[in-house]
Amino acid sequence: MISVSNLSKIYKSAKKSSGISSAFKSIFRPEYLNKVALNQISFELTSGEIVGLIGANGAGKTTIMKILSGIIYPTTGNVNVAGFNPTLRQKGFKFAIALVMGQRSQLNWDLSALDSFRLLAAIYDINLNTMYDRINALSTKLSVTNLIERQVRTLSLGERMKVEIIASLLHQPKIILFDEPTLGLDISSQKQIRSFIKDYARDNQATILLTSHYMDDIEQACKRVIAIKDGSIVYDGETSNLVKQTGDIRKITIAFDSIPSEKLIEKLKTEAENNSLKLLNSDVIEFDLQSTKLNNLLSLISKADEQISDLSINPESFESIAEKIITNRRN
Amino acid sequence: MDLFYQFYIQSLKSKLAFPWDTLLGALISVVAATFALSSIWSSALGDKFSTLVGLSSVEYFFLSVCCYKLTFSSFHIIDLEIYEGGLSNKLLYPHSVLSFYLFQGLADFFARLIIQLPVLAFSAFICGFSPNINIIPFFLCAILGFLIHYLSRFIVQLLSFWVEKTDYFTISMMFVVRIFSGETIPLKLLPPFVATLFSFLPFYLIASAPVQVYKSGFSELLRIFPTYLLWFAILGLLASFMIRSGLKTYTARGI
Repeated sequence: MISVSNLSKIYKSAKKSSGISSAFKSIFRPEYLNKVALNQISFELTSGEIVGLIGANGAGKTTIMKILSGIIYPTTGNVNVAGFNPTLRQKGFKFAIALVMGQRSQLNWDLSALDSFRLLAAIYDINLNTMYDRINALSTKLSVTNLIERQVRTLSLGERMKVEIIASLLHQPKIILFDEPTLGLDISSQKQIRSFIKDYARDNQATILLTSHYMDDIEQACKRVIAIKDGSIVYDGETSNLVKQTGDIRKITIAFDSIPSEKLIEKLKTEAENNSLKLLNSDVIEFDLQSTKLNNLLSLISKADEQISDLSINPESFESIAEKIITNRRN
Repeated sequence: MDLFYQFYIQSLKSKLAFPWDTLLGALISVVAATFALSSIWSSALGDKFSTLVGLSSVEYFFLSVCCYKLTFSSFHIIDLEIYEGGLSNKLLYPHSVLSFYLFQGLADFFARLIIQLPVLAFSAFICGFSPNINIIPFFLCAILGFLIHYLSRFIVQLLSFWVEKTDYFTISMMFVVRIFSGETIPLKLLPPFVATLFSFLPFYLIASAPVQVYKSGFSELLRIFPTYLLWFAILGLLASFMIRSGLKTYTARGI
């Protein structure tokens, strides 16, 4: 359904140095920077698959989405989506895909969502009865039946995202690219959108590529995950493999009211995994810890003289786990 | 046709969401510009104005200001969409970018026309302008003028594919259209060589041609129609070439 081989994308941008003299200089002798967003990546998605795409900000996830949807041109490489070359932007291709962007709206904010749906129905040549049937089905699943006649600007972020999803799926695409659809949403909305994506793929045999910063999205919706770092694929495999490894390690960040004593730091170092303790500031430390040692940590810091202003315990990120898997395989 | 109707309804509803802004804005701009321009030229030329132009200064400027006002669409701005990445949504739709914007713009023109017609009638009453039967071919010509004005501005906005800020170009374009179209300076008052040169440019079709049609009726509209078609084809081809080239550099910033 989606096939990508040796795909590269290089963005060329003007260098903006600081200072007034360099600003004048750049008028006559502009310098350009080449940013490699994607570097020779290859992967395939089969029909009905839901694949997660993860990576830090700037890793190249959105660039992949933009190329797959035909919005931008790749620098080199071959892309095939539903039998089409996206850069040709053929009609059949546009009917086959949808791109749902968490940060961008295709709805008219001054009007109701229903008005925008009507416009989209005209754009995709969907008759009104079919449109209403689809809206009813989708809005029931997303629990927004009472919202589609409200002015879009009065909807909350979560509500707007749900009607945005309905707008993107009105023409029943077979390939859906979700670019951070749960960004900024509360836990309950995230959960609802996740389960909707899974159900939609199952019921419609749709192929879905999903990017997200939330581990739960990937873990619960995608059986397969592709991790990207600096434009290259560092992991392409089962999500469960990653989840297993995130189970043990926690990323601990402690902020102290004042600079912690050497004695306390030494004690924490002995608890931390693989010399991972590092000082982010003179009074903020970060380290990896086995989840079984969490009790030890809490008792250690409760007995210490230092006052703690903040403490966070997070699972290790997918990206870093993926990198470790790759490093271990190479060794 | 359904798409055009939906665009039209959306434009109409958006405008009706802020009716007083739309109506008052139109009233003030038409009346103020007509009075200002006709006073300047009347005081400069007196009766010579109507002898040279063939219409009274109030008649001429009321019609030319209406043309500019009606054909100027600030609603669908492609330069901002290229700059901020909003164009991406349109690239996903099964229509070409040019036809999508042109359709949307034309529907918006009709929505504006419907809403502003009572205002224009009231403005005509305030300015002391009583139209004759030629007002019908005049409005038909204004529709064609809209297409030329829209495409001219669209082409300038498409420069946003290559330059970061097109504000200077779009503001300059506004002045170019106001002067070259004859909205502020009737071409008959210019030296014959300059007037002939201006009449070969597409801007002539935005204000001067509809005013000429008001003076001469349907026969003038039929005479000038092929010129509209020719410029529409030239500007359309140029816009579509620019879109094709520009999309190769498009980075869809912000998504």
